[in-house]
Amino acid sequence: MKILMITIRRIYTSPITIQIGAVFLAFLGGAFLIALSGASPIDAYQTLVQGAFGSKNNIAETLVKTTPLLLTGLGLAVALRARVFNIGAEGQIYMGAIGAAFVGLFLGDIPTFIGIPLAMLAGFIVGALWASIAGILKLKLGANEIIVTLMMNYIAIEITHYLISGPWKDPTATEPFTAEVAKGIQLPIIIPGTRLHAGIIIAVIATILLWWVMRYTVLGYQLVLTGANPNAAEYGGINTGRMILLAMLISGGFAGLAGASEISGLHHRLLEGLSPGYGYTAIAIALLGKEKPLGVLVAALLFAGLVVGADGMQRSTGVPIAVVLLIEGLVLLFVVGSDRLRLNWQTTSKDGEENELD
Amino acid sequence: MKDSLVLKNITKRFADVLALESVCFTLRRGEIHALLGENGAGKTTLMNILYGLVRPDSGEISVRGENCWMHSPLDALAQGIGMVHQHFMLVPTMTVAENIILGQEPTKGPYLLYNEAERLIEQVSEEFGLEVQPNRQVWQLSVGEQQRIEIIKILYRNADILILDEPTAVLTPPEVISLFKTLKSLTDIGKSVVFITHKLSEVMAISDRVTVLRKGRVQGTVISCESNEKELAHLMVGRDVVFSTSSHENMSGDIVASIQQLSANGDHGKLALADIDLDLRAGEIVGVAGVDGNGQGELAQVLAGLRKKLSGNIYIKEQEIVDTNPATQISHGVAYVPSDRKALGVALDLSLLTNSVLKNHNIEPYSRRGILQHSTIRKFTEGLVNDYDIRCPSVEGSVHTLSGGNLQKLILAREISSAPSLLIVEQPTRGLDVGATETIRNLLLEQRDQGAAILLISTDLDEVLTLSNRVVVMYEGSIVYESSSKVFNRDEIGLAMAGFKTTHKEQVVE
Amino acid sequence: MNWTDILTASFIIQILASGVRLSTPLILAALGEIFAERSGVMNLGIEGIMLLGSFIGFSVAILTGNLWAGVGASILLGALMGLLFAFMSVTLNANQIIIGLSLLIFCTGAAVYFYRLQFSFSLLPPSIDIFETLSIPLLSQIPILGPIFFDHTIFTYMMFLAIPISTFVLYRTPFGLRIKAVGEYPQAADTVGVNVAFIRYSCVIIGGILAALGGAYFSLAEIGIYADTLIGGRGFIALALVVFGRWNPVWALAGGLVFGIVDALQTRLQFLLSEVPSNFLIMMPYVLTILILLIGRNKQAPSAINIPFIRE
Repeated sequence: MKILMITIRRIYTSPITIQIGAVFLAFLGGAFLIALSGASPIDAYQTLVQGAFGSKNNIAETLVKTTPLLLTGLGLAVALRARVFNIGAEGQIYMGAIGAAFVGLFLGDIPTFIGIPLAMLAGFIVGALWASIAGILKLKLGANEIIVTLMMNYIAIEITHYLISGPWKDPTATEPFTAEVAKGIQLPIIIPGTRLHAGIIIAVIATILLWWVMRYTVLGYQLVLTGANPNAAEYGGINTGRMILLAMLISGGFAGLAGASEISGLHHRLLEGLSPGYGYTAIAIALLGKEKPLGVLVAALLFAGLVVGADGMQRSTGVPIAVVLLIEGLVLLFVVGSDRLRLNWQTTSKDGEENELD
Repeated sequence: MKDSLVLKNITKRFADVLALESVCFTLRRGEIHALLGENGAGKTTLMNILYGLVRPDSGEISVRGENCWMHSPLDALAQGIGMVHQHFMLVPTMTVAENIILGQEPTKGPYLLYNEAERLIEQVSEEFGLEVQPNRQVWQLSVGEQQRIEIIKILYRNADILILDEPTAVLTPPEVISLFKTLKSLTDIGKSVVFITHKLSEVMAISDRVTVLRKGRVQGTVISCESNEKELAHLMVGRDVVFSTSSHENMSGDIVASIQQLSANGDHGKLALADIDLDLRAGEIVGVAGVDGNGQGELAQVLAGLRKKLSGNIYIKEQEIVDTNPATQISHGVAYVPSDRKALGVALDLSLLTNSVLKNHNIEPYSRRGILQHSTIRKFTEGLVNDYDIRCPSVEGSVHTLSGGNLQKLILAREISSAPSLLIVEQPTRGLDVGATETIRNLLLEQRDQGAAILLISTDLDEVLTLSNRVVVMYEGSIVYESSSKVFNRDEIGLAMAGFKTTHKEQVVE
Repeated sequence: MNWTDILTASFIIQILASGVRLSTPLILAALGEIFAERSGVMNLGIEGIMLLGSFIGFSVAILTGNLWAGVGASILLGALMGLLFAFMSVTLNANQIIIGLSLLIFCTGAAVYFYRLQFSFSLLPPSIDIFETLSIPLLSQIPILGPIFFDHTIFTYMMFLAIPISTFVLYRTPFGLRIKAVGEYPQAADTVGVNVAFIRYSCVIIGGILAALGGAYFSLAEIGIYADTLIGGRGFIALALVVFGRWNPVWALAGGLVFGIVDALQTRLQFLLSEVPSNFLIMMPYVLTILILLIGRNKQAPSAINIPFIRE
């Protein structure tokens, strides 16, 4: 009996339970908000789920949205584990897109087996380099990296706007976007009749790859230790400065990869509004996924489902799509809050353990 | 005339360690009363209780004849008790005046009256003969000047009773003289001072009476001028003569580490190590006795690669190490168990598996070409857990669930497992219960017998004397005493620890 | 439009006046953040609070037909958001960066959602009559300076007043001294009895109120409508202004004015410098911010910023 009680206690105080509880509370709050709009929350949530996962097309759309969120979130999760806060993912996505677009617009007709890897690589590298600028400015000149990365987001967006309405503009069009990129870099559609492209495969592979790296390699080990206790990491012989820079590069690279995949798989050209805030949402996703690749996968699916499903929900019940943003915010606040509450509760119950004498 | 302060039967327990046992202490008006003892004696705990930072388990406090309880520093201040901590509580970018008045600013309506503040401060300054420049920023001041500001801070709040915790630890000799002058003038006016120290010379120089604490108990309260250093040292470290339990068949191993003329700075830019010469041999435990803060920590850090040296040479196994950093030292076979286990020795949130390979995760067989070999790591960790009897729910569990003793066992086990040539241990049994303490000490002896050179740094003199083949005493960054006889002279060591220069140093057996 | 048109006095005055006007929201938000950061708390979410403040002000103003009711509502909202942020970062000790971003997402979502809820039935984007410009008698007649500084809406005058008030509070009151101590070395403040949590709560709430007001400026005193893109990154620029202004209200004012002028110039310059792609002109504020950060790094941030205060 006592064992049962202890087990139950362990379950409901475990981090996962508390997190699920927090998410549940957030959706409860969402239900209240939905009710404010006059619609029935049950109907709304039903059509939400329907819209996200209810049909082949819907699932495909959800996966399409998952791709950039997952890729960016993965990179940010790695950075977060090293306690590096990369707020510039949004800009890094755009820069990666520019890199891929360059390959697709100016290298002529290249065969697919070269084109796709090249475009993806270009996206990764440009994104990583863009991220490293902030890192270097911080290291060499002491500039506040939070502000620098934020500003660089806007700069990246403006560079994109410049390119698509200026030198790279499609001469045949009146709208600002580039010509279609070469077939050679376009990711194939994997479910015919939908928009779902091979980017999702890349994202899933990336998930597994990063999971493996973080769990099985020395690099992953050193990154984790740098984040958990930089002093102990130094004590163990790890070069924490290098780790921090690597964290920036990796997260920037994956954000760039996300941008590249959007170009190659979805839009096939560089255009406006490429990222509706993926870079910021991905931070939330990385947090919710507890900084672990598999968790990020689940969180990315959840958020993507929310966004896609909201469309269907709005059409059926009239509830504005924006409620999803609100629910996202609630989820974040509740999850972080409950996590802190749990930690505070834990430390107070362990008080009186060991006190330094004298 | 009422006593300023009476502490009666103060007892305090931390977990299962008795920090203070029925301590009685009185402070007379206008006296400077020294509180003398080694680390762990209970001096700071006693004063923290007085200052409202710690709650005693039992006992009474009465200030100027009235019983009272201190629930926080504010209570203590209200009673006229002020404390100058070892670590100054001054905001560096604020001016002297701003720091002094913070929390009790002179105001008129919403206005902060800076002029009035300056006037009040000058008043205090003149009254007590403490020179101060109200408009300078604190970071520009010397340590001695900063301390003066801490004193003015409490005088500004009308403190009658001043407690100073090891005030001379950070001062230069002329600054010490200046401080003593200040204290004398304060007591001449009727203030009372409690002066926590481990330095005998200071006790003799400045105090009227001295209370000696040892392991939480009062060993005696004497009138300073009626006593002498030897008697005080005796009280401080105890009478027993300790036979070293380790055999002195000096296996006379080769020199594993040689330190020559080593100097290094401490955290505050002050010199912490001054031209240290020390040889460490295989199969030998060298114990460093001394009160915390005399350079032992810095010595360990330099050897472990966590602190850069200013000058001097370090040789490990006859190879000179020019640029020390943790990775280099680890690769040369230097292992280090730090005193601050939780902050430095492990990553608390991570698992035993992760922490056990903190130092060797990069080498075979724990990783191969950059890939961790989890099964090897697991076997290794389980081996450690079994061999050293580390009680834990599982090796995947996080380290912060371990008790103090088990945590220390894990760290020591980890360091030993690399078969180090030089093992540096700091405060190896601090905070541990009797059983764990014995285990750890036996482990150290075992390592020594297997040929490691061990540098044992501990504020527990008994421990040092029991385990070491050779004892050195560090005081203010230098080695002031060395001995390797069969029976260690506890009095001499105590005196050396307290800064009293012995007339002879024993020959080191070559 | 060509260069000769620019160098006329009236054009310059026009630009400067617009600059002062446009700098209002930036400076208000930056002032609030100065309080928060000086006490050791960095609020990344002010962009969101500005947007939500803009919406609430607009919404209440339309509902009640009273612009001042809108102002009051946005003040209340700002205080509430500040309270929420303070609770999570000071009491719960959550990571300030994460909470800031969470608040950003939450407030943005709230603004977008409730706007849709309230106005989904109107065919035309709803609008209100904004505050009138109040020309201050006599002062606005002064040649040159008059039209630049004294011919604005009440919001701008509020902003003018806020500068000396903030400077006074921060540098001449005990409260201001304690803020400084709490932001640099909270442990020291704690040992002399200063209530660290209270100071931080107060400052963060002030920050929230001023940010919300800054946002409300747009809908109540500038454009008279609400749009999701109303703030356009200005909340983040305000963050940069705080650093540039070295956490000092007067310098923040100077920086804000520069940005306002750049903003005002931008649209006009686009006509002139049509060869230069507009994007680079749009980029100007952001690049300027980075440059400012690179030169303005001599003064350190309050030492305790982003570090939760936990009593030993």
